[in-house]
This record gives sequence, structure tokens and C-alpha cells, in this order.
Amino acid sequence: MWSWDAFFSFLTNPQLIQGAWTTIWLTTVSMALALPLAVLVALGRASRIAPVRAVTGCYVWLMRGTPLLVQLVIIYTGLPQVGLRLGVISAALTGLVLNEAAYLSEIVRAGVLSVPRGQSEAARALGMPPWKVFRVVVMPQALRVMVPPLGNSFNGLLKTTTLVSVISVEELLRRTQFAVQTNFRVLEGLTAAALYYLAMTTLWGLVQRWLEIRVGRGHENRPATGRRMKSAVLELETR
Amino acid sequence: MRRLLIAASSAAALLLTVAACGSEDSSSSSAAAAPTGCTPKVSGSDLVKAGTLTISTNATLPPMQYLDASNKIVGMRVDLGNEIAKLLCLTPKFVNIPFDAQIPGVQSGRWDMIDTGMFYTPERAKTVKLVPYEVQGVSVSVAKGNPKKIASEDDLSGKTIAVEAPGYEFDTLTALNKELKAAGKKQVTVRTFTTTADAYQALSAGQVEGVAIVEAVTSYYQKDGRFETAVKGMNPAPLALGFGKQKPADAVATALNTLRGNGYLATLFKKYGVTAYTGDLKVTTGAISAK
Repeated sequence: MWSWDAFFSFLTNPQLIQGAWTTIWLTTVSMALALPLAVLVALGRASRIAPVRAVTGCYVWLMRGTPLLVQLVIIYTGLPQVGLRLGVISAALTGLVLNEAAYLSEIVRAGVLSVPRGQSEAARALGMPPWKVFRVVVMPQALRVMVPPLGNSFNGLLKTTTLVSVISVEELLRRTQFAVQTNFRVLEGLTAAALYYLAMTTLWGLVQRWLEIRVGRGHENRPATGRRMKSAVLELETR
Repeated sequence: MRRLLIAASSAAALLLTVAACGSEDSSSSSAAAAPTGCTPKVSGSDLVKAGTLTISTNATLPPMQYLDASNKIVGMRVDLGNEIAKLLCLTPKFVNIPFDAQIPGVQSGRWDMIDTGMFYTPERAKTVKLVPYEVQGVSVSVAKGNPKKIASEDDLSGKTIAVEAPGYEFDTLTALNKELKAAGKKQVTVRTFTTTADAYQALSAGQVEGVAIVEAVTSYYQKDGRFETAVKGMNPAPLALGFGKQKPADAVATALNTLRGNGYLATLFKKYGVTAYTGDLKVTTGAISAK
């Protein structure tokens, strides 16, 4: 029953290639937009101002507590009823970014919490302003902890994008369903699509490896602070 | 040892749960009472389950097949499926499942018959056994009052139309786009949804300007006042019941001929405003006309 011919023709099918591109694009853009938002939310949750903590906490609670599928449908077909009409791609991105940022903010928060309090207290004692403490002392150490779970999220998001087909985005899986209709070689088509996903996640695995090495630089033998810390201290000393 | 026992028993419990989830009596399927006083016209070895005609349908398409207020699958095609099963002395059992799973499912023996208003195409006839029985054209529903004044196929040029895909309506729009392109006109922006219900939801939210679907559905919404039918009868084609095996297909074709002879089909089609297929009611291959 299995047809290698059909399988290979799916592998080079323009429908699948186009769908794969949509999937990669959606994932990358969502992640790029979700990360900064996640940092803001994580900061908000650690804020000394109670209303900021409440709002960001409520956002994370809501986004993680409801299905993405429901969020997408509400954004696409619910918001127009209150006068906010987003196009298909904007609606998909809004849903993915808002949902993903909530999860990512927890990773950022975990990363920040993993840096001992003494580190930032010491930096403050040296006279560094709070933002600089965050950027130069806390973040570089937190990033090392954050990269593996962030990579996990990126990997997951590659496959979560299949959900946006509910609001008519034609991503890889949806395009495969269309392509399969010409000869009903479902198994061959889906296997080809699975290979595409595997290729994407493998490629991302390599990128993540590189990132891990990069953010882990200087951790083994030198103090956990790195070059930027040194230059910041130098800057303070020369003042 | 004790730990091993716990692991084994929890694995067994997990298996049981999985088995329960996979059982056929889910809420999305419904079965009628078994017929009595007759012998099944299709032998058990040719059916998914002996004595039962297992029928797949996508119940998101009122009035053809949909879930009523009590979550029961009803509609014209359900009436037809029940009547066919009755003639064959089988218990009808409907499985509610999206269309794109139905052809693979009938091929791999998950159900005996596809009864979901599937369009007959020669390509499809190569992969499943098709018995054509009704004719539908593709129509376009628009918002009440027809704000964009869409009155013909040509008026669809440059508009955004939602459609369930993959399927015949999607293919019809794709073909229309080829014509529009050849004529140097703006193409239709086609938005593809997994169900017609999703497509109509996009229309009510104003995200699209129309929904392309068989005429029976647009008429239904026109009657209940939610949407208007703007374009009718595009690309008319026969619809067919689909089968994986020859014997059930032949038995159902015979039953359909009986229903044509005794007037049941004519009455049913009239009630729902559906056009009958006038060709031979039998397993068919190759190109056929909608007449």
C-alpha cells in the first residue's frame, strides 16, 4: 500500500514547502515578539507596585488557564463585535504572542529567581543603577538557565502553530491536508509533513546548542559575570 | 517487588483508560434501535460491525446533517442513511467526524459508508466506491441585506470568501479564480476553514464577505433569516455515498433504487429543496453529468 513515489512527491510538493514557510515564519515572529513581552511581564510580576503585580499576574493566569484555540477564535471572530477587526495573520500572531508570552514570562521569572539575591545586592552596593544591575549582572546569569526551557518553547511553538488553521491560516499541516486530497495518499502525505517538522525542530536544536554555548561562555572557570560585568565595574571605578 | 506491582497495575489502569477513550460509544456517535423480523442484506464479514451499518458524517451542515438541541445527529442525509439501513435490515450508527478523515476512514475499515454530501469526482471514484444520488450546486451566503451587492459569479471578483476546505466548494472557487485570472479580473481571496460552521462564524463576525457552500445550506440560512443567498448554482455536480467495499456499495445502490421506485427519494428531496440525480443509482466511475 505504501507508495514511495507519492511520499517523495509530497516531500517536494510546493503546497508543503509553502506551508512549512508559513509555520517557520509564524513561529519565529511570534517568538521574537513574545520574548520582550515576557521579560516585561516577568519584571511586572516582581514589581514593588501592587497593581502592576496584579495586572501581570492576572494576564498570566488568564492566558495559561484558557485554551489557545479559544483565544484565537475570540480574537478573530469575537473582537470584531466590539469594533476591533484584526486580519487573519494579525489575529494569529496576536493569539500566539499573547499566549506564548505568558508561558515565557514564567521561564524568565525562573531564570531571574535562580540568580542569588546577593549578586544584585552586591552590584547595587557598588553603585550600579537598578536597570544596569538587571542587564549586566542578573540577565547574563539568568539567560544560561533560561535557554534550555526557552528552546523547549520554541520547539513546541513550531507544532502549536497548527492550531491557527482554525482561523484559516494555511500552515504546514493544513497545506498537507489539501495536498493529500489530490490522490488520498494520507499516510505518505502526513509522514512527509512529519519529516518537515522533524527537520525544523532538528535545525532549531542546532541553533539552541549554539545559543547555550554562547550564554554559557565564561561560566566554568571565570566568575559568573563575564566581560560586560567587568567593563561595567571598570566604568564605575574610573568615575 | 511491590514497586513493580504498583507500576504494572498503574500501567494496566492506563491501558484501560485508553481503551475506554477509544471505545465506539462516544457522545459524538448515535445509534438507533436494531431492526427486528428480518435478515441483514449485507453479511457481517463485509461490515465494520455485523448487523450494523456504520456511517460517517460531518454534522456541521444544517439542514443536511447537524446536531439538534439534544446533541442528536439529524438532517436529510441522516434520514436517508436510516432509511437505507432499514431496507438492508441493519442498525444505522452515525459517526460524527470532519470530512478530511472520512475517505481514509472508509478505506481503512473504520466505517462502512460515507454519507456527508460528498461530491462525485472521477478522481475520488478511483479511491472509493461512489454511488451518486443527489445534485448540488455551489452557492454563496452573504450578510443580511447583501451589503456588497453580490449578484453573480463575476461579482465575487476581488471579494473575500470563506469556504470549508479541502472539498468541492474550495475546488469550485479555485476554478473560478483561474477563470477570473484568465479574464484579467481580480481573483477571489479564499479563506479556508476546517468546517462550514467556522466559515459562517467568520461571516457573522464580518471577517469575510461570503461563504461558499452547497445550495441546501445557504437556503436554510436564508429561510431562518441569518444570511442571504447571493449567488446560486455554481458548478453543479452529483453528490455520492462512498464505500470501501463492493458488497455494501451494491446493497446500498439496490436500496436506493427501491427508494427511487417507491417515491421516498422524491418526497425527501422535495422536503429539503434538493435536486435528485437522474442517472443510474449504482457504483459509478469516470466522468458523469449533473443531470
